[in-house]
Amino acid sequence: MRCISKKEMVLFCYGEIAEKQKREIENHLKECGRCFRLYEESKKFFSTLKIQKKEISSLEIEALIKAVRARLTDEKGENLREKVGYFFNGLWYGIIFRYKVASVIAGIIIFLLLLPTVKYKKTPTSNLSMEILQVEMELSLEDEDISEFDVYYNFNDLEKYSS
Amino acid sequence: MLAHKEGEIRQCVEKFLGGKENSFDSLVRLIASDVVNIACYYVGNIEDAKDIAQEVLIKLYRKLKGFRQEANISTWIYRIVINTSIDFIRRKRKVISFKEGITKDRKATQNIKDEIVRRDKKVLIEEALERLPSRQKEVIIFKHFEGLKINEISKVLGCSESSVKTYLYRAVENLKKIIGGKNALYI
Repeated sequence: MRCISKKEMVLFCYGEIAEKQKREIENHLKECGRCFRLYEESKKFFSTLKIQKKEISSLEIEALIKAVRARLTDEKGENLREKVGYFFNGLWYGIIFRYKVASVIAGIIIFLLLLPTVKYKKTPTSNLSMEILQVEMELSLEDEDISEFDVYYNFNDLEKYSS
Repeated sequence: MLAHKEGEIRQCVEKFLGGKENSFDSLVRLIASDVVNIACYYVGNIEDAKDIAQEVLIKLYRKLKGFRQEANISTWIYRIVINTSIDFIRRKRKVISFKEGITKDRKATQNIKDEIVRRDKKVLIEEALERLPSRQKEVIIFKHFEGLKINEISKVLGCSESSVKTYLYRAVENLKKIIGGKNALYI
Protein backbone atom coordinates (compact mmCIF):
# COMPACT_ATOMS: atom_id res chain seq x y z
CA MET A 1 0.00 0.00 0.00
CA ARG A 2 1.15 3.53 -0.74
CA CYS A 3 1.85 5.89 2.17
CA ILE A 4 -1.12 7.34 4.05
CA SER A 5 -2.21 10.87 3.15
CA LYS A 6 -2.73 13.47 5.90
CA LYS A 7 -6.48 13.48 5.26
CA GLU A 8 -6.68 9.68 5.55
CA MET A 9 -4.63 9.88 8.76
CA VAL A 10 -7.09 12.36 10.33
CA LEU A 11 -10.07 10.17 9.41
CA PHE A 12 -8.24 7.04 10.61
CA CYS A 13 -7.48 8.67 14.00
CA TYR A 14 -11.17 9.58 14.34
CA GLY A 15 -12.30 6.10 13.29
CA GLU A 16 -14.16 7.50 10.30
CA ILE A 17 -12.72 5.11 7.76
CA ALA A 18 -14.18 2.05 6.01
CA GLU A 19 -13.33 -1.33 7.56
CA LYS A 20 -11.33 -2.58 4.56
CA GLN A 21 -9.30 0.64 4.34
CA LYS A 22 -8.73 0.55 8.12
CA ARG A 23 -7.15 -2.90 7.87
CA GLU A 24 -4.91 -1.78 4.99
CA ILE A 25 -3.72 1.26 6.99
CA GLU A 26 -3.04 -0.83 10.09
CA ASN A 27 -0.93 -3.20 8.04
CA HIS A 28 0.93 -0.31 6.42
CA LEU A 29 1.69 1.31 9.79
CA LYS A 30 3.48 -1.86 10.82
CA GLU A 31 5.75 -1.56 7.78
CA CYS A 32 6.26 2.19 7.24
CA GLY A 33 8.24 4.17 9.85
CA ARG A 34 7.35 7.57 8.39
CA CYS A 35 3.60 6.90 8.45
CA PHE A 36 3.86 5.45 11.94
CA ARG A 37 5.58 8.64 13.15
CA LEU A 38 2.82 10.72 11.53
CA TYR A 39 0.24 8.54 13.28
CA GLU A 40 1.94 9.01 16.68
CA GLU A 41 2.13 12.79 16.20
CA SER A 42 -1.52 12.99 15.21
CA LYS A 43 -2.60 10.96 18.22
CA LYS A 44 -0.56 13.23 20.50
CA PHE A 45 -2.04 16.34 18.92
CA PHE A 46 -5.63 15.10 19.31
CA SER A 47 -5.03 14.14 22.94
CA THR A 48 -3.95 17.72 23.74
CA LEU A 49 -6.90 19.23 21.91
CA LYS A 50 -9.13 19.79 24.89
CA ILE A 51 -11.24 22.68 26.08
CA GLN A 52 -12.98 22.95 29.40
CA LYS A 53 -16.70 22.45 29.16
CA LYS A 54 -18.82 24.97 31.02
CA GLU A 55 -20.46 23.34 34.02
CA ILE A 56 -24.04 24.35 34.74
CA SER A 57 -25.10 23.87 38.35
CA SER A 58 -28.43 22.26 39.23
CA LEU A 59 -29.59 25.61 40.65
CA GLU A 60 -28.93 27.28 37.32
CA ILE A 61 -30.80 24.50 35.51
CA GLU A 62 -33.82 24.91 37.84
CA ALA A 63 -33.71 28.67 37.23
CA LEU A 64 -33.68 27.97 33.50
CA ILE A 65 -36.71 25.69 33.82
CA LYS A 66 -38.57 28.38 35.79
CA ALA A 67 -37.73 31.04 33.22
CA VAL A 68 -38.90 28.82 30.36
CA ARG A 69 -42.17 27.97 32.17
CA ALA A 70 -42.81 31.63 32.95
CA ARG A 71 -42.38 32.62 29.32
CA LEU A 72 -44.59 29.79 28.12
CA THR A 73 -47.33 30.84 30.60
CA ASP A 74 -47.06 34.48 29.47
CA GLU A 75 -47.35 33.37 25.88
CA LYS A 76 -50.47 31.32 26.65
CA GLY A 77 -52.09 34.35 28.32
CA GLU A 78 -51.13 36.57 25.43
CA ASN A 79 -52.46 34.03 22.98
CA LEU A 80 -55.78 33.90 24.84
CA ARG A 81 -56.02 37.71 24.93
CA GLU A 82 -55.15 37.79 21.25
CA LYS A 83 -57.79 35.19 20.46
CA VAL A 84 -60.45 37.13 22.38
CA GLY A 85 -59.36 40.32 20.66
CA TYR A 86 -59.49 38.62 17.28
CA PHE A 87 -62.95 37.27 18.08
CA PHE A 88 -64.42 40.66 18.86
CA ASN A 89 -62.57 42.30 16.01
CA GLY A 90 -63.83 39.59 13.73
CA LEU A 91 -67.35 40.09 15.07
CA TRP A 92 -67.25 43.81 14.43
CA TYR A 93 -65.47 43.94 11.14
CA GLY A 94 -66.44 40.56 9.82
CA ILE A 95 -70.11 40.47 10.63
CA ILE A 96 -71.54 43.79 11.67
CA PHE A 97 -69.51 45.96 9.34
CA ARG A 98 -69.83 43.65 6.41
CA TYR A 99 -73.46 42.88 6.85
CA LYS A 100 -74.67 46.39 7.70
CA VAL A 101 -78.24 46.00 6.50
CA ALA A 102 -78.69 42.67 8.25
CA SER A 103 -77.21 44.13 11.43
CA VAL A 104 -79.63 47.06 11.34
CA ILE A 105 -82.65 44.81 10.79
CA ALA A 106 -81.51 42.49 13.57
CA GLY A 107 -81.15 45.48 15.87
CA ILE A 108 -84.64 46.70 15.10
CA ILE A 109 -86.14 43.26 15.68
CA ILE A 110 -84.39 42.95 19.04
CA PHE A 111 -85.64 46.44 20.01
CA LEU A 112 -89.22 45.60 19.09
CA LEU A 113 -89.10 42.36 21.05
CA LEU A 114 -87.88 44.19 24.14
CA LEU A 115 -90.30 47.12 23.80
CA PRO A 116 -93.50 45.54 25.22
CA THR A 117 -91.83 44.57 28.46
CA VAL A 118 -90.66 48.14 28.92
CA LYS A 119 -94.18 49.61 28.21
CA TYR A 120 -96.09 47.44 30.72
CA LYS A 121 -93.78 48.29 33.52
CA LYS A 122 -94.48 52.03 33.25
CA THR A 123 -98.35 51.92 33.04
CA PRO A 124 -100.09 52.57 36.47
CA THR A 125 -102.62 49.98 37.60
CA SER A 126 -106.31 50.67 38.35
CA ASN A 127 -105.81 49.50 41.92
CA LEU A 128 -103.52 52.44 42.53
CA SER A 129 -106.17 54.90 41.38
CA MET A 130 -108.67 53.29 43.73
CA GLU A 131 -106.35 53.67 46.67
CA ILE A 132 -105.79 57.33 45.93
CA LEU A 133 -109.52 57.96 45.81
CA GLN A 134 -110.18 56.09 49.03
CA VAL A 135 -107.58 58.12 50.92
CA GLU A 136 -109.04 61.31 49.59
CA MET A 137 -112.46 60.24 50.74
CA GLU A 138 -111.31 59.54 54.26
CA LEU A 139 -109.56 62.84 54.42
CA SER A 140 -112.62 64.70 53.25
CA LEU A 141 -115.24 63.03 55.53
CA GLU A 142 -115.88 66.19 57.40
CA ASP A 143 -115.51 68.27 54.37
CA GLU A 144 -118.70 69.39 52.78
CA ASP A 145 -117.11 69.59 49.43
CA ILE A 146 -117.82 66.80 47.05
CA SER A 147 -114.90 64.49 46.59
CA GLU A 148 -114.15 62.67 43.44
CA PHE A 149 -114.82 59.40 45.28
CA ASP A 150 -118.39 60.52 46.04
CA VAL A 151 -118.88 61.50 42.47
CA TYR A 152 -117.37 58.29 41.18
CA TYR A 153 -119.15 55.78 43.41
CA ASN A 154 -122.28 57.61 44.45
CA PHE A 155 -123.45 58.64 41.07
CA ASN A 156 -127.03 57.73 42.14
CA ASP A 157 -126.99 60.52 44.66
CA LEU A 158 -125.84 63.05 42.16
CA GLU A 159 -129.16 64.78 42.31
CA LYS A 160 -128.61 65.51 46.00
CA TYR A 161 -125.60 67.49 45.08
CA SER A 162 -126.81 69.02 41.93
CA SER A 163 -128.45 71.94 43.66
CA MET B 1 -22.82 15.04 24.80
CA LEU B 2 -26.30 15.00 23.37
CA ALA B 3 -25.62 12.22 20.89
CA HIS B 4 -24.82 9.81 23.74
CA LYS B 5 -28.11 10.58 25.48
CA GLU B 6 -30.34 9.76 22.51
CA GLY B 7 -32.18 6.96 24.33
CA GLU B 8 -32.91 8.96 27.47
CA ILE B 9 -33.97 12.01 25.48
CA ARG B 10 -36.32 9.89 23.41
CA GLN B 11 -37.90 8.44 26.58
CA CYS B 12 -38.56 11.91 28.01
CA VAL B 13 -40.03 13.08 24.71
CA GLU B 14 -42.35 10.07 24.46
CA LYS B 15 -43.63 10.66 28.01
CA PHE B 16 -44.12 14.35 27.27
CA LEU B 17 -46.06 13.58 24.10
CA GLY B 18 -48.07 11.05 26.10
CA GLY B 19 -49.35 13.91 28.26
CA LYS B 20 -46.88 14.05 31.17
CA GLU B 21 -46.10 17.73 31.29
CA ASN B 22 -43.34 17.39 33.90
CA SER B 23 -41.38 15.15 31.52
CA PHE B 24 -40.38 18.34 29.75
CA ASP B 25 -38.64 19.49 32.95
CA SER B 26 -36.77 16.15 33.03
CA LEU B 27 -35.75 16.69 29.41
CA VAL B 28 -34.43 20.16 30.25
CA ARG B 29 -32.37 18.77 33.14
CA LEU B 30 -30.93 16.18 30.78
CA ILE B 31 -29.88 18.49 27.95
CA ALA B 32 -29.44 21.97 29.47
CA SER B 33 -25.72 21.63 30.07
CA ASP B 34 -25.01 20.40 26.53
CA VAL B 35 -27.18 23.09 24.95
CA VAL B 36 -25.41 25.84 26.91
CA ASN B 37 -21.98 24.45 25.96
CA ILE B 38 -22.78 24.27 22.26
CA ALA B 39 -24.20 27.79 22.33
CA CYS B 40 -21.05 28.89 24.13
CA TYR B 41 -18.94 27.62 21.22
CA TYR B 42 -20.77 30.12 19.04
CA VAL B 43 -21.13 33.14 21.27
CA GLY B 44 -18.09 32.72 23.52
CA ASN B 45 -19.65 33.68 26.84
CA ILE B 46 -21.82 31.79 29.30
CA GLU B 47 -24.45 34.49 29.87
CA ASP B 48 -25.41 34.79 26.22
CA ALA B 49 -25.25 31.01 25.97
CA LYS B 50 -27.87 30.74 28.76
CA ASP B 51 -30.14 33.20 26.93
CA ILE B 52 -29.80 31.12 23.79
CA ALA B 53 -30.51 27.95 25.80
CA GLN B 54 -33.77 29.52 27.01
CA GLU B 55 -34.83 30.30 23.44
CA VAL B 56 -33.88 26.78 22.34
CA LEU B 57 -35.93 25.14 25.11
CA ILE B 58 -38.98 27.26 24.32
CA LYS B 59 -38.69 26.32 20.63
CA LEU B 60 -38.35 22.67 21.63
CA TYR B 61 -41.52 22.84 23.72
CA ARG B 62 -43.48 24.31 20.82
CA LYS B 63 -42.06 22.04 18.13
CA LEU B 64 -41.94 18.69 19.94
CA LYS B 65 -45.49 17.85 18.97
CA GLY B 66 -44.59 18.18 15.30
CA PHE B 67 -41.37 16.16 15.59
CA ARG B 68 -41.09 13.11 13.32
CA GLN B 69 -40.36 10.21 15.67
CA GLU B 70 -38.21 8.28 13.20
CA ALA B 71 -35.59 11.07 13.01
CA ASN B 72 -32.65 11.45 15.38
CA ILE B 73 -33.73 13.72 18.25
CA SER B 74 -30.23 14.82 19.19
CA THR B 75 -29.47 15.85 15.59
CA TRP B 76 -32.67 17.86 15.56
CA ILE B 77 -31.80 19.57 18.86
CA TYR B 78 -28.31 20.39 17.54
CA ARG B 79 -29.86 22.08 14.51
CA ILE B 80 -32.14 24.18 16.71
CA VAL B 81 -29.18 25.24 18.87
CA ILE B 82 -27.08 26.17 15.83
CA ASN B 83 -29.85 28.15 14.15
CA THR B 84 -30.77 29.94 17.38
CA SER B 85 -27.11 30.78 18.07
CA ILE B 86 -26.60 32.16 14.57
CA ASP B 87 -29.81 34.21 14.85
CA PHE B 88 -28.63 35.51 18.21
CA ILE B 89 -25.27 36.57 16.77
CA ARG B 90 -26.94 38.29 13.81
CA ARG B 91 -29.26 40.15 16.18
CA LYS B 92 -26.40 41.29 18.34
CA ARG B 93 -24.46 42.26 15.16
CA LYS B 94 -21.09 41.84 16.61
CA VAL B 95 -18.47 39.15 16.73
CA ILE B 96 -18.12 37.87 20.23
CA SER B 97 -14.94 36.05 20.66
CA PHE B 98 -13.66 33.56 23.11
CA LYS B 99 -11.17 36.23 24.07
CA GLU B 100 -13.73 38.27 26.01
CA GLY B 101 -13.78 35.98 28.98
CA ILE B 102 -10.06 35.49 28.93
CA THR B 103 -8.28 38.69 28.08
CA LYS B 104 -10.15 41.29 30.06
CA ASP B 105 -7.12 43.15 31.24
CA ARG B 106 -4.64 42.10 28.61
CA LYS B 107 -3.95 43.71 25.26
CA ALA B 108 -4.83 41.52 22.33
CA THR B 109 -1.77 40.80 20.28
CA GLN B 110 -1.63 39.94 16.61
CA ASN B 111 1.17 37.48 16.94
CA ILE B 112 -0.15 34.46 18.75
CA LYS B 113 3.31 32.96 19.04
CA ASP B 114 4.33 35.81 21.37
CA GLU B 115 1.57 34.78 23.71
CA ILE B 116 2.66 31.15 23.96
CA VAL B 117 4.91 31.88 26.93
CA ARG B 118 2.23 33.69 28.89
CA ARG B 119 -0.87 31.70 28.02
CA ASP B 120 -1.77 28.19 28.97
CA LYS B 121 -2.64 25.56 26.40
CA LYS B 122 -6.39 25.69 27.04
CA VAL B 123 -6.62 29.38 26.21
CA LEU B 124 -4.47 28.84 23.11
CA ILE B 125 -6.81 26.13 21.83
CA GLU B 126 -9.85 28.33 22.34
CA GLU B 127 -8.22 31.21 20.52
CA ALA B 128 -7.10 28.90 17.73
CA LEU B 129 -10.66 27.59 17.36
CA GLU B 130 -11.92 31.12 17.10
CA ARG B 131 -9.53 31.81 14.22
CA LEU B 132 -10.89 28.95 12.14
CA PRO B 133 -13.42 29.60 9.38
CA SER B 134 -16.94 29.02 10.75
CA ARG B 135 -17.62 25.73 8.98
CA GLN B 136 -14.28 24.22 10.01
CA LYS B 137 -14.90 25.38 13.56
CA GLU B 138 -18.35 23.78 13.61
CA VAL B 139 -17.09 20.48 12.22
CA ILE B 140 -14.16 20.20 14.64
CA ILE B 141 -16.43 21.12 17.57
CA PHE B 142 -19.07 18.52 16.71
CA LYS B 143 -16.53 15.85 15.78
CA HIS B 144 -13.86 16.32 18.42
CA PHE B 145 -15.72 17.87 21.36
CA GLU B 146 -19.23 16.51 20.91
CA GLY B 147 -18.23 13.11 19.50
CA LEU B 148 -20.69 13.03 16.61
CA LYS B 149 -20.15 10.77 13.60
CA ILE B 150 -19.45 12.25 10.17
CA ASN B 151 -22.91 11.26 8.89
CA GLU B 152 -24.55 12.90 11.94
CA ILE B 153 -22.55 16.09 11.45
CA SER B 154 -23.58 16.18 7.79
CA LYS B 155 -27.27 16.06 8.88
CA VAL B 156 -26.76 18.71 11.56
CA LEU B 157 -24.95 21.12 9.25
CA GLY B 158 -26.91 20.26 6.15
CA CYS B 159 -23.92 19.37 3.95
CA SER B 160 -22.52 16.21 2.36
CA GLU B 161 -20.32 13.72 4.21
CA SER B 162 -17.40 14.34 1.86
CA SER B 163 -17.65 18.08 2.63
CA VAL B 164 -17.59 17.32 6.35
CA LYS B 165 -14.47 15.14 5.90
CA THR B 166 -12.76 17.93 3.97
CA TYR B 167 -13.69 20.56 6.58
CA LEU B 168 -12.45 18.26 9.34
CA TYR B 169 -9.09 17.69 7.66
CA ARG B 170 -8.62 21.41 6.97
CA ALA B 171 -9.62 22.33 10.52
CA VAL B 172 -7.06 19.93 11.99
CA GLU B 173 -4.30 21.21 9.69
CA ASN B 174 -5.12 24.83 10.50
CA LEU B 175 -5.19 24.13 14.23
CA LYS B 176 -1.80 22.43 13.98
CA LYS B 177 -0.40 25.49 12.21
CA ILE B 178 -1.94 28.00 14.65
CA ILE B 179 -1.18 26.16 17.87
CA GLY B 180 2.09 24.56 16.82
CA GLY B 181 3.73 27.25 14.74
CA LYS B 182 6.47 26.52 12.21
CA ASN B 183 8.50 24.36 14.54
CA ALA B 184 5.63 22.30 15.75
CA LEU B 185 6.19 18.61 16.01
CA TYR B 186 2.77 17.92 14.53
CA ILE B 187 3.36 19.58 11.19
